[in-house]
Amino acid sequence: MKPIISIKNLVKQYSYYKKQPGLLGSIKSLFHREKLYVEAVKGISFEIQPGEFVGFVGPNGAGKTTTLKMLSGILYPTSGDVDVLNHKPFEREPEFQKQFALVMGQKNQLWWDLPAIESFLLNKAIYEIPDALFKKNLDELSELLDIKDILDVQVRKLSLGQRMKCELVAALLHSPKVLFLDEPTIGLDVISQNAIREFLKAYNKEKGATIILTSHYMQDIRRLCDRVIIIDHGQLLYDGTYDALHTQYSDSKTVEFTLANRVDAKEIEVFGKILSQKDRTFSIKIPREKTAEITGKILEKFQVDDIVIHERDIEEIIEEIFTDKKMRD
Amino acid sequence: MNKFTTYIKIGVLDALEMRFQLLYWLYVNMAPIIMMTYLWSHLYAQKGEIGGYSLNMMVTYYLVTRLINRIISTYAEERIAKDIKEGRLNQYITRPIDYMTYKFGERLGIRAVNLIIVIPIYMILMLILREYLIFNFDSITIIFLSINFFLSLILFFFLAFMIGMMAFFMVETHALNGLKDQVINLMSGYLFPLTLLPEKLQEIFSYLPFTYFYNFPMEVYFQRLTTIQIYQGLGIQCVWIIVFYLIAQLIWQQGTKNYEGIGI
Ligand SMILES: Nc1ncnc2c1ncn2[C@@H]1O[C@H](COP(=O)(O)OP(=O)(O)OP(=O)(O)O)[C@@H](O)[C@H]1O
Ligand SMILES: [Mg+2]
Repeated sequence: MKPIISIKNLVKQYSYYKKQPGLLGSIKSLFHREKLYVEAVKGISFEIQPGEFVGFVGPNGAGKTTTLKMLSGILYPTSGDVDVLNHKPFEREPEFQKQFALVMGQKNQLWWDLPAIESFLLNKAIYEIPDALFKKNLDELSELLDIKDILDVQVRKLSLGQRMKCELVAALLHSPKVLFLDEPTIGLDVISQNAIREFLKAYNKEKGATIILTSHYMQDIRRLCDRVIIIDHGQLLYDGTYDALHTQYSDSKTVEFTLANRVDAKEIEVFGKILSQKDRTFSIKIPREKTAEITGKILEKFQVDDIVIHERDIEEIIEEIFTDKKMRD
Repeated sequence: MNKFTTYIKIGVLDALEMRFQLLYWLYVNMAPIIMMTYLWSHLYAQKGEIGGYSLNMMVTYYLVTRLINRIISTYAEERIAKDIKEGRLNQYITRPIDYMTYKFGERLGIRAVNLIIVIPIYMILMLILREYLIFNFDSITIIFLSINFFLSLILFFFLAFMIGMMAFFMVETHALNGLKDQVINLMSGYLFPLTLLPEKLQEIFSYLPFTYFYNFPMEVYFQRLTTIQIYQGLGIQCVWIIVFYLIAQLIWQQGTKNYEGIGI
């Protein structure tokens, strides 16, 4: 199948002017400004097939938002190719724009002082959505996200969660084929996060929409994304299925135990790498196949109040990929 | 057209949310006009005429130019600069919407609400100052004036749009905006009738767009121009609209190319 999104050696360099602090600095900068560059995306490539739900992960400043901005045509790439729905996003053709939507969790597109329904009607006009389709989509979406009774409330009076739901509705009214979501669950409570997750999952399944989602909440990625792309410092670190990532890095497990007596960390280290220590509670990493053996030894040697063995969290795994990478560099 | 009327509607609704500004408008519109009338009547006590303007013409000039200002200004520059600086432009350039058309519609809506509030204020003012005013309800004059206002509105918007777009290239656009206002005030006849200036200067000004904002419509109102001269004036305005449109498009293209989608 032909990919619906494809980027190749994509690079984005931001330029900005160095500003020296203080009044003297300001005066100096009137005459001479030093131009600095920062390479936010350093040549990444990937292809995404129609219907995929991709998690785009990385620490702060990794270049996620920058990449999404290039995919949606806000930014011109410095170099490299970007192709979405057979269009060059930065050409900003209306036929292209009618087929995708961008939702940014930290920015709202709804009119602040007006009820959400007015913003929906504006989108209806902008995207030239026929009356019947508009009504159908609005009914369906507001039913699914449970916002029927807040459509007439001024947006600024809504809670963050309600507002985010309205943002999603606004973005989906024109039935986009491709959806870019930049931290859509940021700042929401667990219940709202769940509601939005469930909704996105269903939307992807039922409509076959292609979705790229960035999030710092691993729950989002775990529940929603079959595929994970990890970037750091503008470079691709991992691109593959969520499961493979999990298995590849789950050749080890985490054992967490609380001892009855105070013990020197040195005595614990011999069993495995200490991930964390808090008072008498230790968390260590051990090879999967040695789980029984090592826990047996611990129980034998110390007086243990409590012991738990668990699979490693995706957060930990990603953290490890990052630290491994740093050590290699 | 459906799109455009929706843009206007959004502006109307947004402006209606800010009704509380009514008192402010009341003050802004009434106080200076009454004070100026008072001042002029003292100045004219010794002289019958200043630069070909009688007291009544001067008061009328002052009042009507303030009203024209209410009709043709869009005050779009700050909002446009803010959209760019705060990254709100992102949501326009990712949707199938022409930002300039959209802003124009939205500003029309907002200004229409403002006008509906302002017009009664001016009717009261005219009632208060009726002895000082010259009225002209000639229908041809009114048609010419309507065309002139409409063209001025577009020109004013393009100017605002260009100044606002400077936010693509610089952090602070306030100074530039202030400069633009100064230029307009001096060359348009907003501060005083341009007939008070030397002929040579008046001729130069007549090729610039600014005089058509205030001085020209007042000359039309006082029926001091021939029909040919009126057509000529409106024609020059049209030429400037085309020039401004082209420049605005150029700035827009350059700006959005360099735009870095600030924020998040
Ligand atoms: N307009 C800009 N001008 C200069 N540098 C920028 C600009 N926008 C982003 N950057 C820099 O580019 C890098 C990548 O930023 P980006 O916003 O893409 O990161 P991100 O992965 O989305 O991070 P986060 O998780 O914090 O949202 C950062 O180092 C950032 O400082
Ligand atoms: Mg980001």
